[in-house]
Amino acid sequence: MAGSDPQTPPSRGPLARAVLAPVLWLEDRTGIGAFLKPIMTHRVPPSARWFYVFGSATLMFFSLQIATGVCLGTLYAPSASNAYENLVYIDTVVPFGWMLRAIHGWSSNAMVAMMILHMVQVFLHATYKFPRELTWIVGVFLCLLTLALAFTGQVLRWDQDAYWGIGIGAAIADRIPIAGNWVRDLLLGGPIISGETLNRFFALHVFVLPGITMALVGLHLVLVLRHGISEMPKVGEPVDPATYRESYEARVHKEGVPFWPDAAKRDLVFCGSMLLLLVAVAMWLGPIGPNGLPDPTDIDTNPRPDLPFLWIFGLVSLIPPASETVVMLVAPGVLILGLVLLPILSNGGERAPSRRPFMVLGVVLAATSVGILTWEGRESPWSPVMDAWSSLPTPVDYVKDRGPLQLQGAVIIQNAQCRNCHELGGQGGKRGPALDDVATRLSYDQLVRQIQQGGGNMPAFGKSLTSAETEALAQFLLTMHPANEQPSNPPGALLPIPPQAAESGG
Amino acid sequence: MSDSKHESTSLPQVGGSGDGGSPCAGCGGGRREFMFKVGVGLMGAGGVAAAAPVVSAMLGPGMRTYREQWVDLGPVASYPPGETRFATFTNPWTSPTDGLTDQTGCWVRHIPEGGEGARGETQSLDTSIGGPPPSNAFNPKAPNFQVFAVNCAHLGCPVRWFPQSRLFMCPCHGGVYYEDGSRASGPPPRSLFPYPAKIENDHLWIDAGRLPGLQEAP
Amino acid sequence: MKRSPLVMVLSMSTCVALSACGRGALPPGAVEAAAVPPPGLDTPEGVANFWSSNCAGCHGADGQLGAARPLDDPLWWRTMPDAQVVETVAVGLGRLMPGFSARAKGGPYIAYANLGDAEIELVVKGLRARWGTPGEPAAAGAAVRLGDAARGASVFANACASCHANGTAASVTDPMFLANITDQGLWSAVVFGRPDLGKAATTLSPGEVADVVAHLAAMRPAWASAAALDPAAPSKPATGDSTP
Repeated sequence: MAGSDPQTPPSRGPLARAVLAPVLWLEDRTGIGAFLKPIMTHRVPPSARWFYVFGSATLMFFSLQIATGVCLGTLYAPSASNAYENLVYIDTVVPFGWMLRAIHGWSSNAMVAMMILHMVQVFLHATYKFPRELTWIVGVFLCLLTLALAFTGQVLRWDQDAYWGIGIGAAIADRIPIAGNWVRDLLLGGPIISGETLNRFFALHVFVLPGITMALVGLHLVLVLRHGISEMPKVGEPVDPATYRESYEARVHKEGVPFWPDAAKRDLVFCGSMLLLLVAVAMWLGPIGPNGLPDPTDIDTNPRPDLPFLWIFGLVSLIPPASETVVMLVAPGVLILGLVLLPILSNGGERAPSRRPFMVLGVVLAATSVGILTWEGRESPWSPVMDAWSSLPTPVDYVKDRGPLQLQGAVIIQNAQCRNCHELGGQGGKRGPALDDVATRLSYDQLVRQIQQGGGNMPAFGKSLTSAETEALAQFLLTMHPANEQPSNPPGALLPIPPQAAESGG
Repeated sequence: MSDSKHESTSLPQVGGSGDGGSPCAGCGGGRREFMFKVGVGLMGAGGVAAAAPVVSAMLGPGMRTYREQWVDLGPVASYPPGETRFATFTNPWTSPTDGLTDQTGCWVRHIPEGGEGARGETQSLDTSIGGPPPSNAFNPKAPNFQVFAVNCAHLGCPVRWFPQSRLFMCPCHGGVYYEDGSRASGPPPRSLFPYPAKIENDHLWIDAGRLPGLQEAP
Repeated sequence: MKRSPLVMVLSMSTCVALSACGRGALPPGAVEAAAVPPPGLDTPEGVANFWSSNCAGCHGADGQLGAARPLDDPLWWRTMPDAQVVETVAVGLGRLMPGFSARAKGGPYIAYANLGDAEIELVVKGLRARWGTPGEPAAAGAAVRLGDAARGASVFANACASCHANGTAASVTDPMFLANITDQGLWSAVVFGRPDLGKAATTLSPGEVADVVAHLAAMRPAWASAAALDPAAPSKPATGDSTP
């Protein structure tokens, strides 16, 4: 906060006067102080307490992003052929370059977090009601811009995650009916993810999005000043557009306090501690990425999006495939439209959360969903564990006391990549059910059928396993039941195919 | 832009420039209006003239047509029958700063002569399932080859081939495909994206150049 | 009263700034990471890493008590020459042991696409140093020799049948079992057993082993010959009618 000192104290020593003279000259010629003073000291309701610090913190982190971003701009080479090496150079050679990247990366997450807290607070307190509708609407677009900045920033890291992350973005764009191809080409700057893609995202991240964001932040602040900071909601004091302005003006005039320094001190304390915390976190955790060269031919990779987008990553793998295109393309539009229309549709009435239980419920539901989806996206239990088959040993208990054919089955469990999707002894993929007690659920016939024909989201292995391998696998799986629990349908003998039948069958 | 809305602060300079135009536009006749119209016309003409490169830079990638081109994947002999191998090629559309990203990977499947069943443990049981290679109609000039993009049909992550279980698996959301590219399980809405392939002079060629997507892939 | 929080905050920020300078201009870990490259395959750690990501799945975390043969068996290492182990790792054995190099039949898994024989040799040498005996055995030691099946039948009846009789879970004459295993695998199973599972190595003479292997190989069903044991084969079709 750049404040100047427009006061002219009556008596000062010659030294103080010499220092003050240029300041006073500057103030006389520019009028900045006179311009800022009413802004800084405008009256705010005394009830505006700690709930109101999140907007300032978002702005503080945005300023930090601009400062560190400009510095990174002096170091970064937006060229797909050497962006990666350039980042490694910034991390390892440029003095404090690693800290610059760490702060910029973690501050991006912090800005998203503060913005969400700010938005939730405004939503819960219904601050968006008359006359602050447009403030909220501008805020919704600022929210989208912040997320867009986070995504484009992740792309500039130009590592494996960035490369395949854009691929996901392109695949989503491609699902747009009719215009999909066109939109995708615009996004990528060409027919493939290439150098022009990085240049496009660089222009977006460094010029277009920050420019629009700054303009909208300015508009947001102008609107906040124009309508004043809202009071804490009180039960039984609904907003009535006809009388709200007058009563607000009267209350603020009577009992309001100047923003500077009365309200600003809380902002200062909160922002200061958050800034300090962020620097500490950034130093502790270090710069984010780059993770692996952006080599399209190195497909031994496991791309994951950054934290703010993990929930989307989780969402698109948990919804039914048939609903995907709708959820990816229509739902965001509906959500944004709903948020934009919210203050128009409901610009009066009670503001207190206790009188708006459904809104509170909505926030709780949204927070729970996003939280769970983020967690699921982090864990991604739906993803096969690509190296489980060769790296996770069969639990020793499942090897002991098994016959030769059953041990062959235990090898096939590994060798046919079953464990990429199925757990044994708590280790392995979580896409399919754990196999530790599979014999209590499936009989021999069902096991063979399931292995050969698949089903229930499992591929059929009939073409990749011989009948002898299927038999060994089924015989091993039949031993997979707790000692005190019988198999679901114990076969009469451990050899379902009599040897002579198998021989004559060939 | 919206500074004039300010009521708490009154800065006469801010409002000044906006006031000049509005009374003139309303008052009719005279040299002033002519000048104004000329000014608007000049600005418009200049803007249109300058717009060409701006629009081209912003929207160009969506306007250009990127026709696929035949790309050489090397000698046919490097793709043994019955195997699915990873191949890489340089994309036909490149720019000087592409770096590693001008490379693209694909999976080449060489179907053994006579279809899958001939190499199985018995031929007699095979006719219904092994059947004729599914790529015959798609690749008339390379009937025993299927070439798939690495990109999962779900959201474009790179699929990996497991020769033992004869499956392609995707690390992102668990899409799984059979060796002929057809969808086995998981969220993908379709089979793997195939590249048209042909054999010329004992080399395998594919028609490539675009990131495959749901909209135009066969 | 205003000074104390200010002092507190200033000292906090000083602490952070000082620790930043203490960390230096380079990121935490950068220096150490640059100084210590990941262990190569010529080091015990490198071989251990290779083992735990590629071999442990079937052969056990510590080379024993896995689904497949234990490799912490000194007798095995005393018998198997390096060249044969390298070849097995490179191209696999039957359909149960996958090949791990670019030469692998059926094509390599992508992570091993660039694994050459030189790297595999380093791994085998490292494993021999860990579990085996110094000095390489003669190449002939582990060659499979098929003896006389008829003689093998009587050796089997005397030495094996009491435990491995048909119709039990321990049967080794089950056609399904025999269909999955190569002659080399049968030979290894007879000679080395599964010491880690308490199934000791054989006391048969080399000639008797050859006879027993011939006897078992002769019992392998006709439909399971070469093609089914070939890892490149996409195997048999999936049909309901092969299911009992």
